[in-house]
Amino acid sequence: MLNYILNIGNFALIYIILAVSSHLLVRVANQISLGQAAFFGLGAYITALCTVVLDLPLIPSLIIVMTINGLLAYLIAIPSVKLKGDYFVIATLAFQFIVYSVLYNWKSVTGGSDGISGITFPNIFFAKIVSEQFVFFIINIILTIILMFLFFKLQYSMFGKILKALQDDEISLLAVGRDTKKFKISVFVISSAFIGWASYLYATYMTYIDPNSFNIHESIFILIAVLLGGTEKMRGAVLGALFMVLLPEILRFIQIPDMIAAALNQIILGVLLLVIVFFRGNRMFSIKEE
Amino acid sequence: MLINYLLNALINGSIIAILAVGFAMVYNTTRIFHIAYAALYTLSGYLFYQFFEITGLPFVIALLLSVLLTSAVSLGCDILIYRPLVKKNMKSHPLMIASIGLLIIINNIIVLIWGNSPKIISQFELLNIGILGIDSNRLLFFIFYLIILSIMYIILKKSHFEIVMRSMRDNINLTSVLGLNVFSYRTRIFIFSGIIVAAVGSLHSFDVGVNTGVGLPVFIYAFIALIIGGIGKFEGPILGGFFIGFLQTMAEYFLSSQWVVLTIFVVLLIFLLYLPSGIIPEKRREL
Repeated sequence: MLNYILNIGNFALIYIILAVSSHLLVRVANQISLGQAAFFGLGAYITALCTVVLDLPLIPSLIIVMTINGLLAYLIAIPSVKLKGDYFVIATLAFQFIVYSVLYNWKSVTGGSDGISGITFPNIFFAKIVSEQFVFFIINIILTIILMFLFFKLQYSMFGKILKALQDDEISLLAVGRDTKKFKISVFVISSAFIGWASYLYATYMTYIDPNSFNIHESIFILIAVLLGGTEKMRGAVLGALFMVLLPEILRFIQIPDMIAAALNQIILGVLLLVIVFFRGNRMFSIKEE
Repeated sequence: MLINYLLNALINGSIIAILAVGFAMVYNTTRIFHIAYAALYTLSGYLFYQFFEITGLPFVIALLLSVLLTSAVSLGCDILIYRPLVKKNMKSHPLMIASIGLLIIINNIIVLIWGNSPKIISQFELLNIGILGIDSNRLLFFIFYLIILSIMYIILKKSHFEIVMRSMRDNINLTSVLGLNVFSYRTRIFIFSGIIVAAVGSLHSFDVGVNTGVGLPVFIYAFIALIIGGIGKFEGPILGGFFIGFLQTMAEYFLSSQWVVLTIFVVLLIFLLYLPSGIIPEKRREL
């Protein structure tokens, strides 16, 4: 029973990291990205590289994953931030499909549809005393708290204030000589780099990754986790992620057959999405009413 | 061999072109990123499977029923979801999110009704044209797709429908001030786009079968065709559609079928970066 709760807790925390990182992009840069699972997947494969091939410990791997994810995000962001609205979505969608296609087809490196197995969690001295899941849960909580603390601080820093101005009035910000494009790029890079944490945790927790965990549907789920909470506060993303992880468990608890449960789960999410759009709508994206 | 590749390119190209035009009609006039269009494509394939394979109705009647029901669902999306949102003055982002919600709902209702496994429809020769080793069914499909394209061309170009759509695209408030009933045109646009997506979706499911994941890739190709061809005009998506069709087949022929997706998206990125207005750019006066 404890293992069951720890298992759900671990997934919930991984999802919270994903949602909070993506929340920054949706809320601050006002951009919907359908390519978050691509960064999630890339990070997971880099984690596999770090732990299986290079055998690195926790912190260096995290730094490598964040750096590579951030660099890639930077390369993607330079052309993409010029695009507005739907075009940005399509550019991120294109990135998602390219990454998925490479992960799936570059068999000599990524293992194709077989994926990579045998990713090990780095040895930590007290892992022998208590169960591995519990250690993992602690590390997960620490990372999540660090992340939320950083993002919370970010909101009240100079950078955060400029970002707030960016969503309120981009043109005035341009007029006072701020390079708004630079700020949009940095939001994208920060968001993707911290998704790397979730990738690391996911890959080492599952010990096995394959491309199908990082397809377009995963991207849509990450987006839903952000949106369900209403996007106005960071805690909305946390609640959204928790809900996403708990809903299938609730459906299992009230004993709905597995076959129906998966579809029903998604239908509930779809309906909730419609409801939240209907009641919050423009306010989710800091769009000013004219 | 080569002629079959060519036919493949033409069929894929025309499917993407037709869907791109259908999507462009909705996208240009209502500004909705109508992702649920992908679900309508899947739905029409399953409806055709239901009527033709399970119920055993004749080919034409099954096709008509599938088209009818799909366009009803298409209209339902607009009336039940999009219109209330538009009346609440929602901008394009919330509408897109609503459309993603619709996509998820319709797709999973399909899973609930027909299950997750791919469905194959038993083929028969619709007409026997034994020339050059061409699959005669596929040739017939291609001709049918061409007919759909020309009907769309006639409807859009030879009536005032296209002009109304252009004015809705430019300024929807002005259009309604000038006395055109915008909502009645919206109804027609959603029905019409539903009809064409269903015609293509049903025939293609007869051709290669249907599964729950077919809609989204085809929809994304159609949107890419729209970007590559140019959004404003009727010719743009068609040109873009055939371009994607040929690109797909060429990538299959010269590289390998696993790199098709990658090739198309790399080409899309090149277009987005260097030619964002597409092959046929729209002439617009900047205000």
